[in-house]
Amino acid sequence: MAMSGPVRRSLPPPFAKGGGLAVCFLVLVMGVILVPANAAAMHISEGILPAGWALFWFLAAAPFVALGVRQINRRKKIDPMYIPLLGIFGAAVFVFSCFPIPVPVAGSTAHPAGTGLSAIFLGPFASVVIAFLSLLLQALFLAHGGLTTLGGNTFSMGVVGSFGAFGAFLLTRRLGLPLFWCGFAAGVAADLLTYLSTSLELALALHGDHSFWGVLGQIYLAFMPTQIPLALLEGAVTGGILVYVRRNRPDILRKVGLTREAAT
Amino acid sequence: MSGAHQFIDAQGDSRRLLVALDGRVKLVLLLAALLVNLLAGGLRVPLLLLLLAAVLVMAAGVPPRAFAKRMAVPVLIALVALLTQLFWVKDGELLLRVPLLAWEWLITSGGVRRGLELALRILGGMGVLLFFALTTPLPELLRAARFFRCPPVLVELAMIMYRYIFLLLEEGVRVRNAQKSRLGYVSPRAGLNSSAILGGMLILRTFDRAERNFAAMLCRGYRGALTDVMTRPLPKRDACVLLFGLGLLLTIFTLR
Repeated sequence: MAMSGPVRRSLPPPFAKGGGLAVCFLVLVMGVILVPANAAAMHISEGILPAGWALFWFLAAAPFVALGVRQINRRKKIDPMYIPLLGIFGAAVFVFSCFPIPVPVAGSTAHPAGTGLSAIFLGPFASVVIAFLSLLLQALFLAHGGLTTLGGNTFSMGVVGSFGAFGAFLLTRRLGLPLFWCGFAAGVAADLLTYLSTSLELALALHGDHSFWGVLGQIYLAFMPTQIPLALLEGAVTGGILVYVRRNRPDILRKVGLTREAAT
Repeated sequence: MSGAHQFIDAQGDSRRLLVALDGRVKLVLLLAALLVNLLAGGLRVPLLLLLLAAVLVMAAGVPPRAFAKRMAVPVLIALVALLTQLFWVKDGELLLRVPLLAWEWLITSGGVRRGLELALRILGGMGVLLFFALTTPLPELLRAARFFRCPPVLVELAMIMYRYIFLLLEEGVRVRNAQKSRLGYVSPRAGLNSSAILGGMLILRTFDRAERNFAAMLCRGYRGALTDVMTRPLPKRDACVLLFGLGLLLTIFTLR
């Protein structure tokens, strides 16, 4: 929102001396405050994005959701069981993201995003749709995230997270890495890219009179102590899940098109 | 009905006016309120919306404690947002110099104003959203979504997801408790292992359930699409509420 009132451009920067220490202080404050709200911090809350940015992110995410819906409709015509499978898988990812994983570094627990898992099993476009619906249900029935920020959250978690995870999975498979490390790469990419793009969205909307890059750096620094361990943990859990499924039900991996992977 | 189900839309069974209101009316009013909150600017409108949401939640019969408890996280987020604006916005009059060790933190009137605006926008928006969350059953919302031409596949997926979230949540909690009782989370390494097994189990059960569920759906007349949603005409009472609500929101917007 535009601000009125006197503007003194001659003012010194917010931290007259010792800018580095100031950044450290901000990082510490944000880090400490945001640690308990880790699950919610992944989603941008209702009201944070101004109208222009909210609309921009809706427009950016809409083509991916539309393509995802089209792809699902096509698959549904070929295999009518696809819709129940997709719905129940979406619910499973949603539920899995509700269970806390202990984070040794932060002395707290964190919640996995689950996008890496859905991108591997369902493909990136269907994963975007599942992320969109999960975010919608979370906003409407848990009051996590928001409706005007749904576009921004879908873009960061659904689009960037799913495509990043899928790309990382494909790349590591091409490199011939074992299934665990492919799942690990997908989990880490989904988590880290979601956090990087959420931070980007926040910095674009909130940098105020500060330089955009400075604010972006501060947000990255603030989240880093929790997000990097969380991304590594999510990667390990995603890799572990793939190995568990291959060991117990290799037919499932075959069914979702990972046949060669199941055989290795 | 399971405990977990009641956790989400506890008011779903209530027949009070605000709960029983047509989903289409609620959806239009919710979107209008969020737009007013976003576009109005200043402090007055989001504050009025927050107060309105709190009053309506009480009127709908939701215990005030439930509302306050759910607002705790948004309050925390709003505080962080306020703090960031105090750091990042430096226009306006210099209000305060806070010496902190070797540096000074300068708080300006522009930073305070923009921080308060942002914090109240978050609280106003979350209050309105929470009112909707606490008083609207999902089937009502999905009926409204179909009325507004939402793609049927999205509605169908949302319905299946919503139904299975509670079933799988119960299963997941059972698995996790069993793991805990076998010292599955006694160390970070054991915790990771147990988390992977928990996730793997959910995937296995998902695929088994999907097959069984599809067979059951076929037995109950599923033909690859949602049954058409019966859209009843809007009752006069609900139409009046819609007009009154839009009028109230317009009045609030003009007060900015």
